[in-house]
Amino acid sequence: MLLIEETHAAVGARIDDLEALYRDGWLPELAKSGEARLVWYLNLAHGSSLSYRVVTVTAVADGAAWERLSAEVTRGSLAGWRREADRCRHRVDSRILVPLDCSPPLSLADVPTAPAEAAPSIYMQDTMWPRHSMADAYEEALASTYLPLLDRPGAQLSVEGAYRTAPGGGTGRQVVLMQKVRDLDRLAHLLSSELPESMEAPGSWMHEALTYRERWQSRLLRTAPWSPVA
Amino acid sequence: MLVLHEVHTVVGEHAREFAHLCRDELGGGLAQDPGARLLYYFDHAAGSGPSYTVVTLTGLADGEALDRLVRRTHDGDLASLWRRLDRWRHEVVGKVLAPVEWSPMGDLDLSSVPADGADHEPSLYMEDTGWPSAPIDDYLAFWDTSYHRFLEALPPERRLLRIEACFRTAWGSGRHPEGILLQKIGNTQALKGLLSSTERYDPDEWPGSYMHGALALRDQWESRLLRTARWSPLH
Repeated sequence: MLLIEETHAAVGARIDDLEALYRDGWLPELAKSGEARLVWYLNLAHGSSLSYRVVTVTAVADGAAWERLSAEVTRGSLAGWRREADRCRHRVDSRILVPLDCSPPLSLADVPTAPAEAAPSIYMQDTMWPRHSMADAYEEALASTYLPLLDRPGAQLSVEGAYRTAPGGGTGRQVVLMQKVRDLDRLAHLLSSELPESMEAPGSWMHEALTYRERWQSRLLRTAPWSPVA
Repeated sequence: MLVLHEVHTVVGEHAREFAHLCRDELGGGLAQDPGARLLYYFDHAAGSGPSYTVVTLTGLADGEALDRLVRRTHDGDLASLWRRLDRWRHEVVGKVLAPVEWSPMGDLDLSSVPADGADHEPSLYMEDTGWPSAPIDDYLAFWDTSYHRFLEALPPERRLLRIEACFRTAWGSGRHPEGILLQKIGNTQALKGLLSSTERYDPDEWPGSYMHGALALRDQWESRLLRTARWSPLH
């Protein structure tokens, strides 16, 4: 499976139109085949980052399915839809993601094909740039050390997806975590408080992971109420 | 007054040493010149942006103070400190800001800014940087009349933000046109609501009137959640 993540810089006055195009166009169009699904429709949380940014994640069965969908978007049955979407956005930045072995399983057949109706969820999406030649070791450390930390009862986050970028899928080799925020109160505390020194002491994940990476970027993303996966 | 705005990408292993060096030597060192003061030391709030990123704001009385700072950091009394700071940061991106006329910070008396590194609770700020498609003067005036004054009129318990300062980039520095709002978050409950709520604004009522009206001036901005250090002179 591959996941196509797109970050849309929407035209402010047309952001609702872009959302409608995805909800009423992209979602049902993909549902006509069994090889692609819209998984998430998210907005960058207001007040945390860039304005009018939308993030969509579309899953495709494999490279061949991606190629067929790409052709439809470029010059096939979805070209008209794409032209309409382009009128609603200044630009799109995309990357192709591959699930890591430790990623929670995702089956296309299980992704809803109709708009959901759910309370919005907040995700903390982390993108990491491992140090040179450290990407494999970092992925192993994630699986053996970080993810088990989030399996504990009362964890603030749950990992809903863990990916690496595919060749041609973006700048350098990146690792991407889609982490669902379980407790907004604790998120607010995290934002407004200093990290305790113990969290960065030798032996802690924060300290040990510096061996593999020091650069990452977090984004706070909010699902649309109709997002297939919330 | 001018404000030197710097974003430091700090070496992760030395993030605490970088902060301690700024606390112990930068604030006091800058203050050796009465025309310079460290105003704010912020960490980019964990979980909301780039890792190991620090933002500092330094007040400068005028262009001559900037000139003196250039000389002091190049081969004067601050040169050694600058070299040590450089060891613990990958890069620093700076720009010089000028306050707008209605900025609540006004023409700050730099001698009133503490330089003793005294301890206090951290505060959370939302820094908004906007890039208008309309003339910058119109954009900054709209911020005042349709945003700042409405915020000030709200009772404190309903006010998510308070604008502490508003700037534009000084000519010849950084990107133009650009406006910057430094806003203190006074209500964590309201922040949770802002982050987690679906945005649907009534154009006939504030803040919807502001959100809709502002689209005629810009649709591109960036917010950053910044947390003051416990020793930040202003907080």
